[in-house]
This record gives sequence, structure tokens and C-alpha cells, in this order.
Amino acid sequence: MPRHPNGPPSTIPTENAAAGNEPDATLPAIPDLDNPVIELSEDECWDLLIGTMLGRLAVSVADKPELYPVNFLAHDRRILIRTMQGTKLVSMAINNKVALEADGRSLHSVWSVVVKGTVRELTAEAEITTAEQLSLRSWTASVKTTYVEITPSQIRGRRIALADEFKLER
Amino acid sequence: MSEDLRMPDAGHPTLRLGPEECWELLAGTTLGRLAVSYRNEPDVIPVNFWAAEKSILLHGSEHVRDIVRRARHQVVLEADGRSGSSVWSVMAKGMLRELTGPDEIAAAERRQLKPWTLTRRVLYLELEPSELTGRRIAVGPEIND
Repeated sequence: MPRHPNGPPSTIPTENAAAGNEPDATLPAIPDLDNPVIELSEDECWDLLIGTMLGRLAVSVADKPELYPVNFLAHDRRILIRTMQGTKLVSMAINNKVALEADGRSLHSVWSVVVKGTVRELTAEAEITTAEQLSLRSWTASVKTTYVEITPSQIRGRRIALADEFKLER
Repeated sequence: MSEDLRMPDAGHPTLRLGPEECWELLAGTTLGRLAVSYRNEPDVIPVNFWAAEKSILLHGSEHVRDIVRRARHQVVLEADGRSGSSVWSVMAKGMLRELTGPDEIAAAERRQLKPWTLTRRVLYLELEPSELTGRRIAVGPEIND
């Protein structure tokens, strides 16, 4: 059964329960001067993607990359993107291997998540209807008529400590 | 300076930017994303960059080094931003070159670049784009005919 499209992955409550009474077990590690880079778990990566709507999509033709900002929606461990007819769509038809990166910042760190996988255009009417019901918002006025979906083969994320002068004050 | 800034609107939601405007936008930004392709599989990393005099300088971590060393072909650096009622995106494509000469490394050091993160930097990379393209897109509801 599909989960709520914007809900957290269903594995998290189970893991929290399994962690028992250890209060520290669920606190995310915080990078600092000694350990400036922390690798994120898959669940953390998905949580971050679910809370983000702007990413950059990399495609590659003849081993030459292109990179486009896109609005996306992470749901059910997949990535949904709406796009207009254009070079991006042509590139994805030639080579369906893509990478989507999203990032953001907190007070003292930045994070970045990269999803690699294969992309396909949604063509079945039922799939398109389902996609239209998800709240995939777009920022820009260009007309996007096509839905594509990334099926991930790998997801990796990192949280990196900010230098003092780039930390935000609370 | 560039001419009056043309802005996209409902009738023309997407505008192509000229090279001068692309360089101005890059010069005002230090966060971008670098895409490389290895065996036809793209990869992306966020990077700080500094654009000046038609060249883009990166100060890379080990993570950046490991990823770019695999790229045999051109890479693309993308930067974007939002201003008022539009968003812009600039793509700079070309070959990355690692700075190896003591003089050019010293010149890069003198610029006192300030990366955002505490990751240790291990190499300077220069991108002199062979292709520079940019677009400005209107923000708002999609215009359907």
C-alpha cells in the first residue's frame, strides 16, 4: 500500500522503537572541526529529500554531463519530476542514467544528498493520474507537460560542518 | 555594464542570457553544483567556486578530487539563484585543469578564498568554460494556452 506521499519513511518508527531506551540513539550526529564530514543513513537522506523541493538533475550524453535545476517530489522512495519538452527530456531518452542532488543548510552545517538511478517517462494514464494527485509544485511559469520518475539504485548523503564565519546565528 | 536587464514574463517565461550576463551572475555567487560523467553515469557535487576574468576556480576536498579525477571529458558547473519574479541558471562547460605550477598555486593562495565548509582542501581546479549558457525563467503559475 502506498504511504502518504509526504510522510516520513515507514522504517523510522520501527527503528526508533528498536533503539529502546537509549536517548542518544536517534539523535543525528553533528559534524564539527574534528569530524567535518558525516555520512548520512539512507533514512536520513530520504527525510531530507522529502522536505526539499529544489534539486539539480544531472544527465549525460556521450559521457558529457548537463545539469538542470528542477522541482522534484520524493515519495515512496522514488523521485518524481515534471519537465517540459526539451533537451533534458531528449538526453534522458538517450541515456536513462541520471543523478539528482539536493542540498540545504542548518545553523552550523550543510547537507547534500545524491540519488543515482534510472529515469523513465510516465506514459500510462493511471500513473499520470496518480502523479497529478501528488503535490508536486513548480516555481516557474514554463509549461511542463511530462512526468518522469527516478528509480534509485544508490542514495548517499553527507552533512558537513560550516566554517565559523558561515555559521548562522540563532 | 550590460544593457537594461531583460526580464521574462508571462508571454515569454524563458529568456536566454548572453555571456556577459552569465559571468556577472557567476561572479556574484559562490555556491554551485559540479556534474561529471563517468562511463556515461552522471554524478553531482555541491562546490564553492570563484569566478573572475572568464575563469572559474575551485578549491576541492578529497571527495571532489576523487570524483573529478574519474572524469575524462568535459564537466559542467551550474549555479542558480532567484531575484524578484524570476530564477536564473547558468551552465559553464569545459575541461577541469588542476593547478600544479608553484606560481599559479601561490596566486590562488593569495586570493584567500573562503570555502563555506571545514573540509580539508587538497587541490585547486580551474575551469575555463568552452561553453557558457544561461536562462532566466519567470516565477509563477504555468501559462497554458
